[in-house]
Amino acid sequence: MKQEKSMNDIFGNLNISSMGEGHLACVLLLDVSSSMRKDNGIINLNNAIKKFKEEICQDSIAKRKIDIAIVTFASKVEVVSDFCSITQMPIINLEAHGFTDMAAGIQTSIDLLKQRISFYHKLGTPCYRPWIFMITDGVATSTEIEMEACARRIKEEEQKGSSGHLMFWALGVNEYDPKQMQKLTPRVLELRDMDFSTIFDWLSKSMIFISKSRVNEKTRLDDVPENARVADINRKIDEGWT
Amino acid sequence: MKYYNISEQGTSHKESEIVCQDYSKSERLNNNWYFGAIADGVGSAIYSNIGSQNAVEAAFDFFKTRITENDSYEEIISLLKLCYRYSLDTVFKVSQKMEKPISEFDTTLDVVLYNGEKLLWGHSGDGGIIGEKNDGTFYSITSRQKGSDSVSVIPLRGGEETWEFGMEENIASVLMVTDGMLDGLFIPVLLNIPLNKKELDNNSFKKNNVYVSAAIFFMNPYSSYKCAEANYSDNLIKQFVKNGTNVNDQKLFLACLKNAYNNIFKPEIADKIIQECDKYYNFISGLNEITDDKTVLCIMNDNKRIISDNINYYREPDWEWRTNLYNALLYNRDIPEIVAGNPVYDEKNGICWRVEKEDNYLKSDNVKREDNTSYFQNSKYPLNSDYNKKLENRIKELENKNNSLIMENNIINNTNNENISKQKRLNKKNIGMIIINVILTIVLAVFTVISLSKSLSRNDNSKYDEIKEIVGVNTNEVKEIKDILDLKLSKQELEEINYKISRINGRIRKLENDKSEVHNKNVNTSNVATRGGVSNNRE
Repeated sequence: MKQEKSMNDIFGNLNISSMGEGHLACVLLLDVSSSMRKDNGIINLNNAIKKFKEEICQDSIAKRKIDIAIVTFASKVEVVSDFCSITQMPIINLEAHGFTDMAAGIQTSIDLLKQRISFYHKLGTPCYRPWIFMITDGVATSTEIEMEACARRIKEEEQKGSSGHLMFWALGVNEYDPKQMQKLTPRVLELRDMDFSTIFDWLSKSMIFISKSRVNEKTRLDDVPENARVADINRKIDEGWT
Repeated sequence: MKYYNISEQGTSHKESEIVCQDYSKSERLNNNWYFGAIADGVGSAIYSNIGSQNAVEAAFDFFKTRITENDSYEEIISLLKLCYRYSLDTVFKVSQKMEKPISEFDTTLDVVLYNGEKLLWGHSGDGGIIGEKNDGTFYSITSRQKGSDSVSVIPLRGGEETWEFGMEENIASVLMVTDGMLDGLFIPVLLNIPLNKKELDNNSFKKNNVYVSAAIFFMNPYSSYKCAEANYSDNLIKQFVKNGTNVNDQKLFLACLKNAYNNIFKPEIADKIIQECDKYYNFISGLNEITDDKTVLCIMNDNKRIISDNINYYREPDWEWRTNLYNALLYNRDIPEIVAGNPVYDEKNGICWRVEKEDNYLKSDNVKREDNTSYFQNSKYPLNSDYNKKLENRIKELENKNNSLIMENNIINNTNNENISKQKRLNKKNIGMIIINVILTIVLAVFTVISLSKSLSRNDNSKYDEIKEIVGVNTNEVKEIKDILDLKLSKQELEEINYKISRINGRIRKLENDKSEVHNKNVNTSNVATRGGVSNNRE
């Protein structure tokens, strides 16, 4: 351990990245529709993202490997921050307004992610399975056809390659529609309240863990925090919490 | 001839208690042929360690007794192809015996046969075979076989369509490594990135540059078997691969490396190269950071002594600059400026580093032995050699050809310019003729009217109008006019008018002739101008 620190010191001074390190690309896809104002949702979200950045940046390996983009959706989709190193990620101050065009947000995120992965391949950079982590608090106002198209695309992007390309997560809060989420992905989590700090803590830990594994290696993530659980379409969000 | 092989469980597999999935074997065969094979079990396949071991052992069994003195290289290549089929069949039989799908035994397989000069090889998967030429340059013989997602690997099970075979000549040493060692140390990303955004967009950059310091350490006998610091063995290499490295190993590594460079260059040059290498700790950190299973196999001809004049080739790359460049490309920042004196570019097929400003010690005039014999005398490209002269002659020949092409081009351009000028002149002439035509027509009309008005001023106005109208319509029917006039004019007046009319007739004919002449010229000019235009466009 002592020796490793010495090595890090040397490379910290020289600002040299290790020669073949992989990169983990993640899109934070955030619902900023007007309903996110409820229970200080948007304020909590801004704070949680700031903490998420701080936690990853404390890890010397993860901060070199994790690239983040932030996309929001309401009545319109906005790429708040294109892919950058987590250390360069801007401090954001999101505001809630408008409807919930989730389908457009998903399509934009997948496009952005595919561009990034293609770029990694071109550059010869090894890459981990990329993530899209979506947070929503309500029913999508996109049409059913648009949502079905999204579900098909997510499935297709997840099945590509032997290890799969995309890892799509959906986190529901408040009045989100678990059935609609389950159609998109089997990885649906729900939060008991609007305290996003714990789930972002879990997200940062997961990312740090993956960034220290081998590219293409199957990894087991930590259990989700107490105020979160895997969604069940037969159970309402406010039911069954212990 | 010296050879060694080592396959070591990676730290990530140690932590997760997964067995080493790599396997390797190196042996001397009959008739001075040396065999080497490595296999990397695919991580996602449960029994890939069994697959890799069986693939390698099957390949060795196949070649153990098969090569004879009389076999040609082509025949050995054919044997290699059969060997791959045999290895796959063996893995398949094992999977059947264990009643598991063969995909659970997926593995890569690289096989080489080396006789100290020629290398015959087979390749399947994302491992790599690196060769060292007699002139001291290293190159990647194979390229990674990846799936369409650029992450997954194409295993031995991919079959004959994916297997690759070949032969290399003038080989001093051969190294075989699995993907962890290949990506992390020998052919790292930082050494194979585009030098600007244009190269990145066009995907036009080389991706198989070898990290020379690492290759020297593993492939040159003067850093192991002929090195006191390494106890004249491959133990240090094995120790580094098995136990990893730390900062304290830097000195030991550099001492071995220096011993190798001392046998290529004179000591002060070797010292300078080692100083540059010492700046970065790149070798030991690169090796230390590989968490994957590690396999290295090397067969070297220790009777060959590498002598090179290409000092820049051996210099340590500017890793700091490359890191900045990599980040600039990755995050769309400004490309960092090239630092003068640093070897940052590769060119000429990755053989040498381009240096913006060479340090004095690197000038080739200084590279002489103390006994005044040239260091380059045994090099592939010795100074002032016939080869260089041939190259110079060829360059001159090409330059002359280029000059004559430039002259031809100039002549064509001049002809083209002349044609354009001609066309312009003709266009001007054409306009002039049109103007003259218009003026003459006006003059004709005015003159006719004035003449008639003068001659008829004393007569009836209605007659004048009638004549004017007729003259205006048909100037040839003067006789009819005369008939009309004969009815009411005196003889003297008639004669006077006749005279004037005959003069007018004369003038009218002349004007008509002029007019038709002008018209003809105009038509000719237009045709010429049109032809010139088409011709010019074609040119």
